[in-house]
Amino acid sequence: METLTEPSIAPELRSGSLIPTSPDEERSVDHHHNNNNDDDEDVDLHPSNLLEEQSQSSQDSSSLVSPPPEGGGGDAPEETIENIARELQHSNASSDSTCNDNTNDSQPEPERDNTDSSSTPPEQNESPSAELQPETAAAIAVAPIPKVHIAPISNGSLALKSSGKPTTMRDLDRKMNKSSRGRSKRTAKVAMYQSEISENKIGIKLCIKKASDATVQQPKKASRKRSRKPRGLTQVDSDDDEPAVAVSPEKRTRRLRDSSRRTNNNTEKATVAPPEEYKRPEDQSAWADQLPEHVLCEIFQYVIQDDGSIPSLIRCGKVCSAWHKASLVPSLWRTVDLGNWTKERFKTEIKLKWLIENRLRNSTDVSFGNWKVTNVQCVLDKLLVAAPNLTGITLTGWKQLTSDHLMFLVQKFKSLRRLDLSSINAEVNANKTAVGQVSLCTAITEMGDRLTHLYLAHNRLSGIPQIVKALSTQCPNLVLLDLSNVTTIAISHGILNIEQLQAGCQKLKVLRITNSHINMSTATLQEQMESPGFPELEELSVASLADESRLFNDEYLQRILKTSTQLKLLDVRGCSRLTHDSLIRLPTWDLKHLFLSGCSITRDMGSGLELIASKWAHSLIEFDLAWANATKPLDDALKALADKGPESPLNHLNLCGSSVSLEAVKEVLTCCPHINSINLSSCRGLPRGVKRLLQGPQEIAELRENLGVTLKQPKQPQ
Amino acid sequence: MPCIQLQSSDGEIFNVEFEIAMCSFTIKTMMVDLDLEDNCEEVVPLTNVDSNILRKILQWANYHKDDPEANPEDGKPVDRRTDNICEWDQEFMKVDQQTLYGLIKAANYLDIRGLMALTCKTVANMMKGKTEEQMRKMFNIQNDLTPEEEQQIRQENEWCEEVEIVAD
Repeated sequence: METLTEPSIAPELRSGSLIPTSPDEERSVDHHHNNNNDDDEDVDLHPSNLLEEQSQSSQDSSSLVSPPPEGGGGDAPEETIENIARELQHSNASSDSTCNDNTNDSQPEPERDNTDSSSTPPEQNESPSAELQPETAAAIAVAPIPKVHIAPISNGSLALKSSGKPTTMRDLDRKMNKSSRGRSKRTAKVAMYQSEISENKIGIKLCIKKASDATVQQPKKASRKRSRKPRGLTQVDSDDDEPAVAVSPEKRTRRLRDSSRRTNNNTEKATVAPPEEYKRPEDQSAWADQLPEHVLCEIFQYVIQDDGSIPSLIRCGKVCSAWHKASLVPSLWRTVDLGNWTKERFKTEIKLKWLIENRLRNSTDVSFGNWKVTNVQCVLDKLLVAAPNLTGITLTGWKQLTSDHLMFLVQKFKSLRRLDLSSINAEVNANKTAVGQVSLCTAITEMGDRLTHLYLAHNRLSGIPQIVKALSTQCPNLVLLDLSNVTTIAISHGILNIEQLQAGCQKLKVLRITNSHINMSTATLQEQMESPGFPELEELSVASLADESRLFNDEYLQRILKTSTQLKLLDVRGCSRLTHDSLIRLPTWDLKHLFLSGCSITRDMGSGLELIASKWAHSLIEFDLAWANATKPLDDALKALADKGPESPLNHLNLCGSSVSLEAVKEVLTCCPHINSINLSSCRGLPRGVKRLLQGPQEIAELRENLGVTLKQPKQPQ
Repeated sequence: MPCIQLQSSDGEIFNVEFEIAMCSFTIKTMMVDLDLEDNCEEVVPLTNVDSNILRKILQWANYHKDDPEANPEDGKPVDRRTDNICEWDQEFMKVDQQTLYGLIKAANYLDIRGLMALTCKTVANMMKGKTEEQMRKMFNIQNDLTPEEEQQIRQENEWCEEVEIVAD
């Protein structure tokens, strides 16, 4: 089934999606990114470019959107393809210059603006990308917002985890850029949109994962040595016959010598470590020496709570010997992300086996994103021995994963609930791939009510109707379904029967269909009436590119969200068919994160934006209005937010590239006490000097000072 | 209100309401084991806790005496969030490191779960996002790893991405 190809798919499209990813390109992109961190001012220097770009792009969008009729279920294959082909032409022309900046965080640069305005690819692409960059750059430099962790992924991309940042934009951008331009020239990185409302913070957590084919530079032999060496200190080492109590100095040194003998690739070792030379520091702090190990572990547990064992635990382990010992206690290695925190060149099968045997003995949730594994079965066997109680596994980018492996996983790991199969089959329809229709349906059926989280992002899927049917009949406990960046082999394979999913998966909290070739099914009025909706849905992302956006309209939004009173995050970026009506009519009263950039609502001259802002002014923490180009409605919307005064929880406001007026910005700054970041890059109506991303209390305070406003101290709202 | 007497390591005797003292599982079991439950005359010696710390602990226990008792071994999910420390506790935790250490030790010895969680959370929050060097400095820990050990640890963790620590 998976090998089926759609005969009518434009050749460009097919070949485009087949072009493999290239690590080189990534690297060059990274340099690019480094160079561009401080181009901030350039944007301001080219207002005309921006203007031009803006107008050009809106034209473009309308031309893209207008031809096809209302996007019903799967009624418009030709249009889609036509569209894509047209887009391809556009983007081919500009891909060289554009695909560089899209993938990475850099400031908007003038040359890009030029290219974009001359040969504009679909409109949202440059808007968000331009707007994202400053923020990232700022984050790299200072990260003033608490809890922003920046994890440089080895080949240069960033995994950002932040609490409630407008970072989603960046993700989307990359993704948008990727998939729009990438269709013509597929860029190396496979960035996936991944946002989730983290339970304990106000914000959303984001991270960009990549499925790339970066070469493994480390020869096998070297990693073998590496993987053996640590034995001396590894108490959980499986075939280390010494008991796991590396305590006394003498013993430790002995083991050291043992291990040095064993590994003999480190020559200094034997010479530098005669036992009597080792002296314990005299006045060791009580924090190191006297704290019972279980107390230390308890503390570590709290430290690693938010982000998993890695990298915090590794750092703690470097502090002193007692801490090192404690850091190896298996119970601390429960949630281990080896995908984002492992340097690419170490992602080898041997290393993975070593880690599984030595670190993952007690793990329940592991992420092996993008490890290069050829003998998948062997790794899975080891994993089963080491961590039979696994509840979650991420196998992003494991292109070798077959349906047999998947069956093995779901059958042998009896507690498995979370399954991340992103980027397994991104480009080609491999035979027997784990994400084939039959394979998935069988696995879903096997997991049944165990299954809570299913990630199928960035795959080329077939038979989504069947997959959804399996989910809705077998998996009542499904909480998350990620179908972002999914391509399908034919329009009919990408139809999502919302009502069916609603009937079967009442507990669904997160639904991501970002940028996917997925259409809603048509449903009779009766079916719609009878559907219970998703009463627990908290996050819905249907952001899309210009070419697909026409497919998502008010009706679909209503159908998906008809009973979702709990919704916290709504991402409708790029949905150029939505009107404010549908948002106003949503049963959701306490939306916290709203992303509207590129959405038709932000271009509407009516009072829609203001209504939306007033509806959720009391709850919005993050509001993305980037590139909104109707000044009056935008200003009114901001005033509505400001009206909440001290009660406004607004934390992040993204006005990048919008035509906001100075007055409105001042008003927000005067009235909203919790503003922690505001993106004013490329805002034409603002004076020079403030047009950038400002985040953190200090920068916000400076901005207030610059604009001559003071925060209204707790006063009456209205 | 029945009381018991607790004696700190430096000899000071505290008259403590029975209820409050019961937040310590160590004392609780001691009372049961020694059958002291109705005997207020007996002085319970706490050899590991000095009077400063004990006073602090009693202050905490008094404030939290009405907290629902945490059930130790019933449900799995332990609340490990570290950002939910209530204001009083935050204020309470504004102590020097020695006291903090004393509190942890004592909470561990006396087996006071709520206080244990609070102190561990506080320490964890101090550690989050710090490099090993910053942590050493913070807790005044000497690096007692031999160069070889350090080398080994480094190699052992070579695969792990170095983290860019952002100073706060």
